[in-house]
Amino acid sequence: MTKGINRRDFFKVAAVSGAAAAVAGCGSDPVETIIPMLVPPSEYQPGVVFNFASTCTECSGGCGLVIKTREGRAIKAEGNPLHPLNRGSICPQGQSSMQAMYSPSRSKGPNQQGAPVKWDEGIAALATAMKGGKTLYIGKPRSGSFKKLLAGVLGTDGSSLQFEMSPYASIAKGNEIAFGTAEVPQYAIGEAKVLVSFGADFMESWMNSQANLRDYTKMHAFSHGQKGKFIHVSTHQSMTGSNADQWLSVKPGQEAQVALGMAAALLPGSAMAGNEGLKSYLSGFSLEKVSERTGVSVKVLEELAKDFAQGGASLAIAGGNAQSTGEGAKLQVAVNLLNVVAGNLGKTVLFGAETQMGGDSLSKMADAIKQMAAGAYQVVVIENVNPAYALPKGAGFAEALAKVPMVVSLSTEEDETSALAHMHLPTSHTVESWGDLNPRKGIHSLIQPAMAKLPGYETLELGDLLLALGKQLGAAEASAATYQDYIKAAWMGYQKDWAVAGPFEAFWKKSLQQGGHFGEFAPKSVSLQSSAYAAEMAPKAEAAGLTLLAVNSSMHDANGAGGNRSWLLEIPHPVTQLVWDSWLEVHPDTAVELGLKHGNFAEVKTAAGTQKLGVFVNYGIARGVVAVPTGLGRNIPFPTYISTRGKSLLMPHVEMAADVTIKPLQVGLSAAQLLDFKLDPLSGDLVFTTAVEVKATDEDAYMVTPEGTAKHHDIAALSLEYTKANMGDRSLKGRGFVKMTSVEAMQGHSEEHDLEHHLRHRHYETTLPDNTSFYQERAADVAYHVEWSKRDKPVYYESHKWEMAVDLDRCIGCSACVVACYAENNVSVVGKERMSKGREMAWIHIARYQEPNHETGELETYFTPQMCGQCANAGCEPVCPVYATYHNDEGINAMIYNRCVGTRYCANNCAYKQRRFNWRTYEFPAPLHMQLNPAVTVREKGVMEKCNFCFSRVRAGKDLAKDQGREVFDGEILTACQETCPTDAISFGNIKDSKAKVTQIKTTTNRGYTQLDEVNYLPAVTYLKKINHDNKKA
Amino acid sequence: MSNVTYASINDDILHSMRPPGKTWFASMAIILTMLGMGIFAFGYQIRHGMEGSGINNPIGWGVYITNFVFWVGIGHAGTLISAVLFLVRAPFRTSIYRASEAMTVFAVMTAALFPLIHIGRVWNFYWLIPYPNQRLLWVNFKSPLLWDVFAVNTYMSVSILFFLVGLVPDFAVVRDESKGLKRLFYGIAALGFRGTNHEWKHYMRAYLLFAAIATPLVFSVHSIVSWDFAMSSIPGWHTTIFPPYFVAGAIFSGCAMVLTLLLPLRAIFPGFKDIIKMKDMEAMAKMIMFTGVIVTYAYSIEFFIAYYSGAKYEKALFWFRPFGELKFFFFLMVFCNCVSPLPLWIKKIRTNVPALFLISILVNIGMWMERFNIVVTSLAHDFDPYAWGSYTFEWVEIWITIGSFGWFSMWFFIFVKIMPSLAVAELKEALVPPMRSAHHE
Repeated sequence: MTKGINRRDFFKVAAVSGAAAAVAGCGSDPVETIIPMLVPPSEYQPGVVFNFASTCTECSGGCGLVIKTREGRAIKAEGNPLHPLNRGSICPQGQSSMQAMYSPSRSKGPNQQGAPVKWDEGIAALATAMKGGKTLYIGKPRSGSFKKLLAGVLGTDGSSLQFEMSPYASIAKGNEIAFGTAEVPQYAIGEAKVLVSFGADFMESWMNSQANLRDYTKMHAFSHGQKGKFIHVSTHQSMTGSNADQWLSVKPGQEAQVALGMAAALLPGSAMAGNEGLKSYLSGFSLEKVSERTGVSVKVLEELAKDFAQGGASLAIAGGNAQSTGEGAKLQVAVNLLNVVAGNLGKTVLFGAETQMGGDSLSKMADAIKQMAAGAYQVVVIENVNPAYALPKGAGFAEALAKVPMVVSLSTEEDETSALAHMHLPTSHTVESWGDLNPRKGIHSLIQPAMAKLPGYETLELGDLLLALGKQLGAAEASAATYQDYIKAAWMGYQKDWAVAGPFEAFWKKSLQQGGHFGEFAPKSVSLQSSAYAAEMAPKAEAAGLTLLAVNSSMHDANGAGGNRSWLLEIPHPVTQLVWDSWLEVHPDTAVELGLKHGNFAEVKTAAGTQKLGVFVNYGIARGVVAVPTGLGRNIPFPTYISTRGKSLLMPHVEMAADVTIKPLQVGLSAAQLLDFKLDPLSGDLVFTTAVEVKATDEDAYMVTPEGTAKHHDIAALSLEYTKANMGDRSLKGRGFVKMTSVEAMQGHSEEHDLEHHLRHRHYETTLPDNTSFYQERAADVAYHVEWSKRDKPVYYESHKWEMAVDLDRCIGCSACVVACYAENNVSVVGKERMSKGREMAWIHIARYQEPNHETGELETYFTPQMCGQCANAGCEPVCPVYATYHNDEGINAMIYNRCVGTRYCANNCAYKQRRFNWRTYEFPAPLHMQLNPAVTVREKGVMEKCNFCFSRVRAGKDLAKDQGREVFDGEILTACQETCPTDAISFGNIKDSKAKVTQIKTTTNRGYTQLDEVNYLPAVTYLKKINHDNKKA
Repeated sequence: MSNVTYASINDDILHSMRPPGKTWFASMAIILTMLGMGIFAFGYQIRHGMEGSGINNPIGWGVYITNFVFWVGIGHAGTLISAVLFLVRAPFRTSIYRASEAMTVFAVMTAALFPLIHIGRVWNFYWLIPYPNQRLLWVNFKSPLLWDVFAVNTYMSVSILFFLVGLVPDFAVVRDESKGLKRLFYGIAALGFRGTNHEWKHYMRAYLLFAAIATPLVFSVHSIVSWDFAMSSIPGWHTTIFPPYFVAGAIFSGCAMVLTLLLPLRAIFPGFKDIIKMKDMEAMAKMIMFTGVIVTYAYSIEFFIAYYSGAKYEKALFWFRPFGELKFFFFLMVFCNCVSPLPLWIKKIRTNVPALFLISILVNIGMWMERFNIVVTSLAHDFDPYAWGSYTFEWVEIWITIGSFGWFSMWFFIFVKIMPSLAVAELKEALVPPMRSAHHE
């Protein structure tokens, strides 16, 4: 059974899945024991990781998950490497589903306005109510078998609504207009040489960001001497645009003009040149006119059009903010025209996948609200969506809901909407449930429970609840005994549909092991319809005045599901680096114009209301636009550590043990409170923009970031770019943490090792260790210095020396690695005040620097993941008086927490400042403590900690290899950060193994460098320079 | 001089040892309150962790290490006066050395607390001491912190011994002047010293030997303390100038502290005025002038080297100190240490008691600031701009600092009451023997 512990061999643990599932099916166990399974299944081994393939339900993207469990408890959500969409990576929010699973906000059991009820009573009450009239079911977008069951249970008197704030209705509508098919297409980003995104934040919240990033990396990462080009056209740069080779900032709502201008410029040479209707339509979008309307120069537009002419190997996509201006469908039509003119249709734009992404158009929600208000519904059932929070006040959702006689919440957590319900029947979390998803044709993902129900929480799986309900209502669809049976029965049918040979049990087991059944889809051909260039499709030509944008990001989106998860609040937002807060992002020129100061409050007044927000001055936004992040303003139960902020320092502020209670804490404010409930007239997508007035105040906004640069000026580096509106110096100050080169400079270096590495579930040949020094080419140099300095001999490593390579050309700053690290290593979450005092505990962080663009004079953003370098000549080791940190024979700066007395000298002497001290013992509010990884010690006050290259994983990997009497395979041991990186920016392995990828990268690359070389700490992390397309960037 | 006799020395000095009056008790109450604040804050810190002090992520050392270096530095003047000036036979030493030496002992006792206070898990402090144990754990002799353990412990034991050796004949004087239990007690403390020629001969030899042992410590201890910083790689710390710079600074602050303590002592006990002469105080002032110049030179040469080295990290740090957000502490340091001693070059001022007292206080503040600047600003602004930080004080460290002054003062107040605060025997030595005085004067 030892094989079962290897995560790459997890599909071999079929029997475990089944057995654990059987245990999981026994219902909730109120008794909390150290090991939750009193009679464990025969395969169960204490101290051994079991992995369960499942599917993420955070968004509708349908990424495959591997739920890692220890002692019967799920401890981490990782990407499923076998899943064709995300291929092993998973976004910050997907990983934080663990914090939803163990959320302190989780509802403890069925209750009627706080008074507990029994499950059968609750279901009976709901069934009775449903019999009395029409039912509306508002739930998450769920593809797969669930839809059918729901329809069957609701019957003819019920209707359902899939609620999501950005349901891609504009894309569907735009395609309906342009191609006659209301489908969200598959964009083959990986096949494009040039990608132009019109506001689509495809690295963050647009469609399946993980699939996008896999494809983007294929297209954009430097490989074989080449690198694709990515151009972002938008009013708000976002993290996605900050990674673009070129960012075109356009006036608010004018992205479609650029698309049409490009199409007009490309039309003469294209296959569509003969289309007179199109020609006359596009004649209204000559580059001159477009330039006038958008504020982008003709020359830039010309170059853009020229770049885009790739004979079908380019791709234009639209989404995000550009599509939430009320003209989203028109923008989609314009982009469709551009793709058609450039010949991309059928090459990079593929139809026929029947993508089931996003929910129903919000116009359906608007109707439902009207109906509710009119008293049309007897029962409204709301499941794991939070419209009361997410919808703007103007939608009147809460008021309408109050008119419904019976509101039932099926949400796992207590939230703003469940508070409005008459009855709360909490369903189990996805990790405890069965299910399946079908995000697009050919991809059928399974969801299986990875653990028994959370002890002390009386919940029921959503599917089982519906079955019980259906039985009471007499629905024929609800005949299955359990939802597991229901899914199984459905898959029995699928087996026939997909013509999979062999017995069902084998098919079922294999599907469970792999996380589903995966295949391709046959693209269907579509053609451009004349409605796409009808006059009424022309986007408006005038830019709006000062506009407020509510923006989604990789950390938070408008649905607000992550707004009460401490990881997502504590980990700095990639672009702004702000934590635990909302903010108002403003261009420096606009800030100067409005008199706004970075870090001060501004009064933001829209038709929906007035709010105070801290100003964040940034070049990544168009002039005349202000941006507010969505998804914040929710309550998170968080420990109330004592605060000394703004209090007298001469008086004691004593924290009593009882003071550290878990209280709801509102973080930031909801952007929805600033928006009107205005929908795109064509598609019904919510308009995320609104006219705004912004007034400066002198009040300090107490915005917190872990970076030192916002507050602290370095006189030597001060220049205009950094001083506007007091924004502070965010530059590298010539310290070379991020280094760059250009494609030109890399010409002739195509021999560089192709970085398609990551090595998931690949077993490579390994050379046995040679006995040379790991210093390799440095050996002579070191020998000389050793002799000269008369110091100790350098450490020679026996058979393993773990090293890392980080490719900055690939890193996009998404911070998924940071979340993975928090989850893997039990990193404490400290809260805003402690962050502001420099007491963050992150073992890896994404440092964001901004350097001026030589051409525009504006700042460009650079990201670098920073973790402990495990230096070979470390500063931390010799200064520790008690050997609590020492260099182990595998090259790790090991930390012995038990030995540490807390002098903090090691942290002082670390040039990279990667060490973190436990200034107090931090709380993990229950039941979040159950997420803690038993393989990693939880640290107490007074102890130093830091990244150790996930040494617990190294240990586990080596133990396994030892048991099997072999060497560790290269790629067998992955660090948590590496594992989740969607762009494969991080490589890790044994440098003594000459065939290891990390060795090959380090030996063949000519853009590798180590940070702060002059300090001579010899870190084991080599960074590969970022490659810019030309020298426009710094 | 003329009115000072053997008897008057005895009377004047032992006058200070009379049972304490109301003022003493009132002062002691304040002092114990201060100490109590410190103990309370330290207890709080042990229970809740280090977050009651302003130390944070880039700035791992703050007020505690500042206090440590400050108090070790204070100690130096005492040893310098008692040992080095003894060896060079400086005449102004006699009147002030006992109190200075007491100051040294108490300052080092205070300083030794701070490495304990500052560590995260003080309950494990003994792990810093190399001792055989069943876990086969050993300490890292490469770490300057360990050198500190030895340096400070050596210094503390030597200065206590030297202090007590110096007290032997004076304890004998107190014994002779007292009765009953007190006589017995001081008799034990005096080790039966009777003042025979034989005893004096051995005593003087022993004293000389101790002075010779203590002398190198004046230079070594603060050099080793400076290596806590100089051995690291951090810009602003990693510099070869530190040992002499620290030693000069230590003597600078120590002499100032001697003045801060002796000027009030002189005012409180009227008899002392004849013994601790203005001339002796002036000599201290001259020491301050001299070391002040060295310190000022060290400050400027640090800036010059930052410029001359071309090292960008060093340069940026030395921009940060005067122009960054912690510039207040820098300029306070420059004012107190470089500017405020300048008036001492005028004789009128250095012989003026209030002026001298004021300047000594300023120098003390300045030297605390110097250590704060070195410890905090260097860490606040090192290699990685992303990690730069800033410092804000927190109540626990403030209370503990107050407590440390309480701790020091408590010992000093007790010392004044139970030991002769001036060196009786040596002062007598300096006098012209009674029967001959008329002849010679």
